[in-house]
Formats: sequence, C-alpha cells, structure tokens
Amino acid sequence: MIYLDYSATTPVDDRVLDTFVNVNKNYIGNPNSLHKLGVNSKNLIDASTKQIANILGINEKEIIYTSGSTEANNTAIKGICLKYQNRGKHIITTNFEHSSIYGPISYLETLGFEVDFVKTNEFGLVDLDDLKRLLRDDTILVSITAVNSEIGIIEPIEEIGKILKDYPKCFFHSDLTQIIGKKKINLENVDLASFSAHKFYGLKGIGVLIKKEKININPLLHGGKSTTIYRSGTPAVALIASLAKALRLIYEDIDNNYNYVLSLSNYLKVELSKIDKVFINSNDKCLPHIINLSVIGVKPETLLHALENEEIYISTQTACSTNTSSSRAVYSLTNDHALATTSIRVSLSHLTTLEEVNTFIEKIKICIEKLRLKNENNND
Amino acid sequence: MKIIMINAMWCGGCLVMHKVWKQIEEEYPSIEIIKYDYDMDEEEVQKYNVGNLLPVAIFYKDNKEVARLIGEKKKEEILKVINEWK
Repeated sequence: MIYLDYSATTPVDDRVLDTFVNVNKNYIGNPNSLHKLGVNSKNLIDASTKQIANILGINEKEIIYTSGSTEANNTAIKGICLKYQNRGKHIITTNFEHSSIYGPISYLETLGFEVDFVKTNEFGLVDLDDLKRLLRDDTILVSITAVNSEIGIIEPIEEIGKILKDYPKCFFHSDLTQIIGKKKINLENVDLASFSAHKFYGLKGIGVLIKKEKININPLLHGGKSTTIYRSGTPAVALIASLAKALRLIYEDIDNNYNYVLSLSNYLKVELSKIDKVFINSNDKCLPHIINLSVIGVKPETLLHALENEEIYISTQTACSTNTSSSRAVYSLTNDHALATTSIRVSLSHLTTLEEVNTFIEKIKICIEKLRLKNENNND
Repeated sequence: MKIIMINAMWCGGCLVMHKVWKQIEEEYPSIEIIKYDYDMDEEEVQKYNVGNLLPVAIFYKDNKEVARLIGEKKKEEILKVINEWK
C-alpha cells in the first residue's frame, strides 16, 4: 500500500496512540471535579497546554480545544463577528479557503454581513495592495489560510498580519490546518488561528483554536466553563494529551522533515511533468508536501480508482463541486477549465520513501496510458 | 421572469456570487428569485436536474426554462440573459 493522501489525514503515530490509551486508563477523573482524580486530570491538561504553547510560541491562555479545525474555524469566524458586529459587518477572505471557512462566512452573510474576496497573483498569493484597497472602517475580519489544502499555496501570513496592525478594529484569522507540523510559523500578528491534530500524526477529534488574550469571542457551545469559557463540554483529557504529544514529536525534526519532503517533492514534480499532457499546478512557492497536477483527458475520479486498484491512495478535490468534477481552487489559480476539471492531489510526508514515489510514478504512467486508450476506444 | 438559484453554504463560488445576485435583486425587483440550498432543500433541488457544479441559476419565462447559468459568472453575463428574456 502506498499512501499519498497525507493532507487529507495522517496515520496516527504509535507513541501518540500509546499516550491516548494510557491517559484514558490512568486519568479517569473529570478535570472539572474537585477531588484528586479530577485534579490529576486537570494538571495533565495544564501541562499539555503549556507544552503546546511553548512549541508554538504563544501564551497558554490563548488555547481553546475543539473537535478539530472545522469547529475551530467556525468558532473563530462566527465568534469574533458576532461579538464585535457593532463595529462593522465586513469580512475579507480569499478564493483558496477550505469549506469550513466558506460555511460560517456564508452563514454570517445571511445575518447581514458583507464579504469581499481579495485578489491573488499568478502564484495564488494574496495581492497585498488589493487587500489594503478592500480594507474599510467596518472591516471586522480578514480570514486567510496559511496553506491552501488543494494546491499548497503558502500565503504571506506574517506580512498580512503586519498590514492589519494598522486596522485595530479588524481581526485576523488564519486556518493553519495544512501548515502545522510541516513548517514553522510565526503567530505574532495573527489574532485567531485553527488547526487539527490528525494532520500531524495525532488523533481525529481534537483541534485547537488559538485566540489572542486581548480579544473576546462569542462561544458556539454554551454550558459553562471547560478548559476555557469559549468552548463548553467535559475536556477530552486523553485527546488533549495526545495532541500535545503529536505536536512535540513532529516539531522534534520539523526542519529536516521539511527538507526531505522538499527534495522528494521536487523529484516527483520533475518526473510527473515528463508525462504527456500532465501539468503541475503547484508552483515553487507552494508547500512541497502538496502536489496538485492535472492529467488532461482523464477524469480525476477514474484515475483515483485506477490507482486505488494498485493500492495507491491519492485524492481529488471538490470545492464548489457536488462530486469530483472540478476544482475551483485550480481554476482560480490557472483560469483554465481543462486543468480545473482534471486535477488530482498527491500529498507527501516525511514517512514517504523514494521507493514509494518511484512506484507511484511507474503506476500512474500505466494508469494514464490505459485510461486514455480506453477513452480513445470509446470515442471511436 | 422567475429565477431559481441553487447554492450551498460550503461553496466558495456561491459566496462570491452572492454580492452580484444581491445587486441584481435590487436592480430588478420585478424578477422573482427563489433560493434553494443544495443540501438543506434536497427534495426541491432534485426537481431541477442540477449537475456537478454550483451555483446554478435557472431562468424561467412563462413557466418554461429559457436559460441556465452554472458556476461563477460575471454580472454582465447574468444581465445579458435577464435582458434577453425579461
């Protein structure tokens, strides 16, 4: 089996799973209970939170645990806009966001919020001049992903954050889901940020919303204090401890892992681009872990299943499409319908071997050839 | 003229188009625009044979479908259809 869908989710690290199991067995108390079993659980959460904060260079009071990035994005966007709506109802975002960004923004639009999309350049990077042009007195939120999940475009989050410092009424949210654990990031100028443990070899069902101390949000879930007042519910002690473990483990070798994936990615891009009518949509400014490519004349879903038959797992992307027919992100980047309707995503990890990559290259060539031949025969 | 609009909350292309459609609604108050959510109004949406791409705008004149715009469109493209059939 060759797994090349690490941007969808990652396999859990055994050591993370061990932490989860051990904590579930040994920390049975509700962290909100006053007895010593509860205090033990609370202390473990506090230690985990401190560890996460230290790794990311933030304050531990800024961490809100959620069920994952979707909840973190919803909490950030709805929470900040509803809290500060008396200041304004204008939101700015990009064409490269995840559906869990568009969802809450669409919801807010039904409540009278207005949305603008900032222009991006030929690399998919936010046009900072256009951002400045769009910013208004009533702009309350700018939400821009750190890394686009389909193509891997790395947005200039630090520069955007610096620009927004001149707009004290406007908050800056960034979806970090695809960057945490892959590349270090400076969060100094970000007000709100979301990520999920299962993207860096942690468990599904736990994520974080980072919320800078100075700001308030309306919670999505009401019901009393948990680890914070911003997200009620009994704290998931074992999931929180496992997230801290996953983050610590992935940060131990983050730079070396990045460089390894970069070399693997460069090699794979060169080899894939040698295939007839295959175009690499991810450019040099993208995160090397994500390679988006278009295979002209082959339906993405058909190619996905052909590779699946070879026990190779990749993905297609479906933003704005009710199935896998078209990628809005690829169209936004390339303005090319043929590329948008034939794109697939291959996502790499430091766990990916050169042997796996070579087998993938060999198999995808065969699959493409077979499928094109089949299409030709069907057309005859 | 009547327009059936099919959007989804998760769809960025739909979100982009909201501003344009809001302007059109204001500029053409006589046009009846009925909006359905692709996921929430499944029963209604099924009637319109919607394909793979959202948003979808279906234009009716005298209860007969006369045009269909699929995906993100410029305001001018929408106005062209409206002015042709209104």
